[in-house]
Amino acid sequence: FLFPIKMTSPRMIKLTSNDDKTFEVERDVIKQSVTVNTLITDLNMDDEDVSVENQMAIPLPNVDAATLEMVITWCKQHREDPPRNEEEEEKKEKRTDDIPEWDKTFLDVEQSVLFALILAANYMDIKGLLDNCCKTVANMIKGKTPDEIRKHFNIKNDFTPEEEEQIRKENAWCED
Amino acid sequence: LIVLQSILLTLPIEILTKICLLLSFGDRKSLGSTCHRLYRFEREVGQHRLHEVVAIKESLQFEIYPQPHNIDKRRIIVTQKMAMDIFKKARIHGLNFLEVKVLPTIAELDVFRSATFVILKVRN
Repeated sequence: FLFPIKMTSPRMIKLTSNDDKTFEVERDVIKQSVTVNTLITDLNMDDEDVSVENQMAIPLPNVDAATLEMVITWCKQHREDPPRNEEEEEKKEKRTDDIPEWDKTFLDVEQSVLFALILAANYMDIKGLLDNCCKTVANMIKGKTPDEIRKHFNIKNDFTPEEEEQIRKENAWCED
Repeated sequence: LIVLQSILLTLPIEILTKICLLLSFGDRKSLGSTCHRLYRFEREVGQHRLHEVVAIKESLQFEIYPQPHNIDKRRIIVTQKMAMDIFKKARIHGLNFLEVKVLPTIAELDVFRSATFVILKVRN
């Protein structure tokens, strides 16, 4: 017996960045964003009778086009990831050496780009992306002296020499 | 004159906290030693976060203290001096060493620094 198979194209969702660029993205890909997912549900956008042309675009006022494009790329790469269990994630040991290789390369970008991604992942509530971005920043801090951290992140040292000495004394017990 | 602010300092507190909690105790102290704002922030995180992850291997623990003052096999009470030694040893071994669970009564960092006893809770 041959059963007819109904070929359906993937459901698409439109997203608009704060600089007015619209992206079409598969529903299945963008479901990783809790914010977008909730909006889709709340606005009944899963109605299959509405074509993508007639569909309202979801505005993302806190995300620019370049960042949104990166977010979509990340979501495409991770579309097959198993759903996260936040309770389990909370219990897990907080590690920073478990960033997948693809993400390491993907997140090897200028600080301004990385921080824009962090803000976008936070706003769009994409926990996997946010986690890996934060781990990347943590890895930039790890093993550095205060002065090295200042240089890396362009932090102005606003301590007086006396205050610095005081802090050094406070922290002496946990230094090498 | 345009003074560029560090992008790190523009992050919302909840993100900064998330990053901070991924750091070991020593690295967090280093971050908190960079400027006034991060100093205050680091102390806030330290004070409100009593349950911290311990990432020291049991083998290392027993290597340092063959006869620790065991409460059970995963919880030892050490003096501040012993805690310092563990920190140093863990760092030498390149471990993202330990976070410390302080007794609730000595939870505040100011008190913690001068506390005689600290509980090091070893992860399973």
